[in-house]
Amino acid sequence: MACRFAIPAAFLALPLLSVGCGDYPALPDVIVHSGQSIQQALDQMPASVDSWLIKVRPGVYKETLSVDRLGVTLMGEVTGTGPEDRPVLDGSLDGGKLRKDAVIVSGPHFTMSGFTVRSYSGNGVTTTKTHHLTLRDLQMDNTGRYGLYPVESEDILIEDCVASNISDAGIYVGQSKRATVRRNKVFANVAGLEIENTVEALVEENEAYDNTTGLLAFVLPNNPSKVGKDCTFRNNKIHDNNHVNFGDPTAIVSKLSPGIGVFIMAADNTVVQNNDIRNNNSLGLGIVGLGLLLGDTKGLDVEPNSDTTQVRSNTYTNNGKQPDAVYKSFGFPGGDILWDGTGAGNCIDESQDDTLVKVAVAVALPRCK
Amino acid sequence: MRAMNYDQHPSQLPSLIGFHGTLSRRLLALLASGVVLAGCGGDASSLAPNLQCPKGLQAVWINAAAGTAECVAPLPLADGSQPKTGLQQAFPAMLRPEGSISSPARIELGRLLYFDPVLSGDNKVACASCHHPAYGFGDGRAVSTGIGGQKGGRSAPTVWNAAFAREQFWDGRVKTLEDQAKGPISNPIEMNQNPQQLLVELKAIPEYVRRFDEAFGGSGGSAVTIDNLAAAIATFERTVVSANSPYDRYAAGEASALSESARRGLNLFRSVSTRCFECHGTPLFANPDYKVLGIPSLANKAMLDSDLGRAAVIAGKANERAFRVPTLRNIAKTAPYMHNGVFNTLEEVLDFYAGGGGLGHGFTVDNIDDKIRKFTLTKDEKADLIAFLNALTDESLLPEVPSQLPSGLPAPQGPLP
Repeated sequence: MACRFAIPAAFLALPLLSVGCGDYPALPDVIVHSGQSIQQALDQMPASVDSWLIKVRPGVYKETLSVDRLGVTLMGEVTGTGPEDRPVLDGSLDGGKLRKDAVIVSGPHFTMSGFTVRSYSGNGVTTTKTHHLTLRDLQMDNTGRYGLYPVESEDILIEDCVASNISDAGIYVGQSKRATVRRNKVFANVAGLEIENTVEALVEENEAYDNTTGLLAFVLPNNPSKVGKDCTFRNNKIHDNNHVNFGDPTAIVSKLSPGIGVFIMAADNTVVQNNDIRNNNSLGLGIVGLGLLLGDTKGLDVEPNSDTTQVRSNTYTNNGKQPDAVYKSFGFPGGDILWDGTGAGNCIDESQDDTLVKVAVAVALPRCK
Repeated sequence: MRAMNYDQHPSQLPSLIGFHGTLSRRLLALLASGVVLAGCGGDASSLAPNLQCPKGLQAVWINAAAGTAECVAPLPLADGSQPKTGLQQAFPAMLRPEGSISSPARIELGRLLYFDPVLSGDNKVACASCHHPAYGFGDGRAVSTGIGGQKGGRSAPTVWNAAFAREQFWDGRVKTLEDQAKGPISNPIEMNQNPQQLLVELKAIPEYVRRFDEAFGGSGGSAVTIDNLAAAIATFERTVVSANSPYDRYAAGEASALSESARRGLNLFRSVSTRCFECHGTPLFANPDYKVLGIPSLANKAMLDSDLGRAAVIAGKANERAFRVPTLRNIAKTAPYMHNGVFNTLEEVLDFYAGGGGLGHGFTVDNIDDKIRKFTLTKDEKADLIAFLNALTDESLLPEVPSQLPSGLPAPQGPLP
């Protein structure tokens, strides 16, 4: 890409002629101060460049941002540990109303770090049909349906973020390929952290607590991607996910039973390893097919079973002790692990003394070979 | 640009030469028809194809080594250039059957057939009667009028960008435009024509005999077949492309191409509040899936429409009342809306979605799509969203209605009365 600039420069015989590919002069930093508009800074990105660093000083910015150019970095300046010791994207409007979205991204090679994002009714950060995204150290609170929402995107890194008080998933990766989601904290959401219809996701060292359900690997029908596979949940702490479900009653998420730690539905090749799963009142870990949710799976555009799930070396403490009424309505007992008996090749290989792993079922998971 | 690629990848050449050899008979036929004009020696691949294309279309190589070329609509990034923004995306390849070639002769024959009422049993209904360029390639009606004043059950889908769909008709019962084109001809309430009778009629028209033979390589009318007729119409329809709207110019980096209102509308369009973008995704603003919205009946808006849609093609609860997601390109030109034309304006459509689709009408739609949910939309936001939808209009490749048809019949100037 850099060569693109060298060629016209050579034609013009400017002093730039001597500048080789890749070391053309650095652009000055763009710094947005409290009271200024971040979108305005984005819009000033010159047509001739393919990377643009915008530093944002702490302050409250009441905006919806859209990022469509390639190579944008939005870097919030973090001066302390409080939510306002960094720039705040705040969606609150007069009269108690909220803006819909905080950030909408289509531009590839996007990085955003060091922001608080709060009080939106739609989404926090949405990325669509793009690739190479880094979302780092973002604090999302009450951002509507989702906090971080990369969809139909590829090569995604989400790390060191916090998402809370969100009515669908705090962190969601959907219809996407190759995502790493690590060291995040999700709490007080309906779904804590959800990987949906996605291929290759590594979800590690996150903490999910006080959500209706903690971690989810789902495949749902009628979506752009028809597969969800190769998701690994490892070294996460998943505890106390017993929050009342406050999801939109017309949405699938509203059907989630409170009290579930890890929930795998219709996703394939999921690995659940070395997680600490405790104090989830209905169930520690569930592995089910779409039939449980939808009843009739005939004519669906996705394969409805969870296949070849591997459950290895997790620790379970105090799960399933007070199953929620919604959960009980499915007719299952509370416990550490539930498998509804659907799907092929699912297996368990727990290092913890098996007598401590109280299988809720239904059907006992076969041993992994 | 495709030629440049071949130069850069000489390893591809042997296979291209092999391709040439196996197709020599067809190439000879094409040479006779004037399709191949650029096969001038070893360096043909470095030259632009010398093919006289209809206005607005570009000549591109099919096989530079063999010197075969065709006419296509210009599309974003088709020249291999880098996207200017994340919104600028390459269109997917059109679905084309084996042997499909967009030659000028086939496009022109297809255009004439498309407008010619000779295709119908009573010589009064043409393709263009229900899919007319002056009506956004629809007919401006809820449901279409066919032969003898009969009403169809569904709204005429636009031909704009139909070539990019994976399946045709509201229920996706056929895949290619070729197969689609054959459907209405024999349908008793559309054109009600016996295909064999149609061939007899066409063979009696010297201009059609000449044009079929030229376009498909026949003699004495041997190329006048239903398959070739469908191929010609489909080839014409592949030129009915809309890809240069104000939105596309904005996506190509021209910031002033969208008004402030339309730009706000773009953000509403891709908000997870409205979720428009999740089904009407860029760059087609369509989706290969079938969706259940819970559309009211045209006859009685207090009732759920009883048309089972996709379930007639693939059985299952999930497909009951599911319909294809149509493109939103040129949507401002194709009112009324939905598979049964129940909504007259874009405002009505937005109100329907904002109310939660069929659930908002109090219908029981237990298989409604999960993305159809109630949302708030202020008056200003609605205006912004409509400004954006209007920015998806591009009719720069609008074909001309032929002033004279080979049959001598008049071309329709709009829908049937």
